[in-house]
Amino acid sequence: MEPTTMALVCVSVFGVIGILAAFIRQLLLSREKRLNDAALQRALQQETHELENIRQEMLSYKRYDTHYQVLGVNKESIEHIDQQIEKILQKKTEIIHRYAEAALRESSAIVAGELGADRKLICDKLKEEIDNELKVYDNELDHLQKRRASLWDTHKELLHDIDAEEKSRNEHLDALYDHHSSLLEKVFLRHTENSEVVATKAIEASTSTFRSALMAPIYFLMSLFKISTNIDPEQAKEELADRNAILKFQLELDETETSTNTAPANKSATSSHDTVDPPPKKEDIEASESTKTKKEESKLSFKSDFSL
Amino acid sequence: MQPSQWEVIVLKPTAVFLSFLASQLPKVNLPDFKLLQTNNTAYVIRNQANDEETLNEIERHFPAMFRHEISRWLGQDARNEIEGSFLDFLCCFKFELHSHIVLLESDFREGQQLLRIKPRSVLLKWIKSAVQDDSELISVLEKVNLADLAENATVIVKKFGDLSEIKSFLRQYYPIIYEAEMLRMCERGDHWPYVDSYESFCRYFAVDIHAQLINLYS
Repeated sequence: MEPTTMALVCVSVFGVIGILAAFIRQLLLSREKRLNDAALQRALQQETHELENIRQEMLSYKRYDTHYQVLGVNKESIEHIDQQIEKILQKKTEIIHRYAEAALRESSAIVAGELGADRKLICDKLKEEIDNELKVYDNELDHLQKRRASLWDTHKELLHDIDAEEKSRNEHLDALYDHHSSLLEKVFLRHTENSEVVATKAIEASTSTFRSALMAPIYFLMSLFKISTNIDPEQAKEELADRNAILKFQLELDETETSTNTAPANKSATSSHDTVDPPPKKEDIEASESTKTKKEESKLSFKSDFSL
Repeated sequence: MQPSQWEVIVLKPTAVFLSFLASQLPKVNLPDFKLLQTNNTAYVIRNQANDEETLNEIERHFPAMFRHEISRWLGQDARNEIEGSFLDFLCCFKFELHSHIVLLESDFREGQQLLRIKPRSVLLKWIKSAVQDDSELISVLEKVNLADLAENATVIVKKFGDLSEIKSFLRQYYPIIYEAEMLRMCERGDHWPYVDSYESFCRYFAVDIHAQLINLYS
């Protein structure tokens, strides 16, 4: 290919390509960070809207009550238990909604850079308290449902329907709570500047105690992801091998740079090589290649046939 | 030079995506971050009139990008409920944007891979030395790191056969790549560091390879 066939297409996000001074002044105004943050705020806004829809849906809920017409001598006791159950479900709804609102508010503050690690600790403490409170509610609910079952003396199929309906409402509330707990954790982990460093250290850590302490947020999140369907177990091995091949090749290119340390210095370049960002060690890459397949290393697995 | 019709998005996995992978692949050793962030997919979208429109475009295409990223690790048929969540997508990936593009094929659709030219700390040091008499610029540079310098770095779009082809390509065309990247910073060629060999080019720039380039525009 001749250089003349090249088409240089270029857009400067800063406007006209300027002199070095103009370039330097713009360096701290990161468009990428601004857009990433704006996108996250947009997604959080969508979540807030969705939460409001769920709240409206729950407020318009009307409890099933036709069974009172067919119940026998225990009707009043059952009606009283129903009211208690309803109260518990309402309390649970209220507390979970308040938590969801707080999680969204705190997530937005994290993205805006207004939330420190100490504030996150307060959120964790709040979640712990709510966890305990929800356990109490669930136990009470279970207890009341059992008592109601013992009093129910006719039309058992109606009891089954009511139990199923309450169970479904309760599960829905639990799912809403889990969703917002994980949302806060994800945004926090995503936005913590050093999370990548922490994750890297955790993977490298030799003692299991140290490793598990560093990995805690990653492990916590792991428990909240549902398992995908139709996972191909071989795919991850191939992907690791492909990435290792590329990383190894990039290392070889870096070694070209390292070899210039011994080459004669050029005319105007600075002579200090010690500030060059050091390339990774080859042994490190080779050590992580345990899953490499037998495919030819020098070939890329260019997947040119992708169509989305 | 002409305004680009395209913008390239490179998705950089975060600790959240690592956590997702760990939950899906309990029997596979986790890749370290260096490896997880190697050979990340590059996606091409149409260049938009403003940032708001760019975000709309990213939101419009996120399900396709999310599914592709998951399929790279879990296979083409794997499906997960997070694919539909824009927030999950944004938590799993930071997106990098590149509009300073050197297209080395007659049409963007023919480009299969992308090379990202990454400034090294030697270049940052050169910039500091070039403006050392200007205290205002020096005070700005004290807050600048290499990641800031690498934002919107030049990317090269081409179809390569294999890795060795990339090496010979870089050896042959480094002067043009060097020029494209330096023009991003300073239009006066006589002010640039002196580069007369591939080795001297490599003192200032590293090259990241993205073996998957996917066109999202239609």
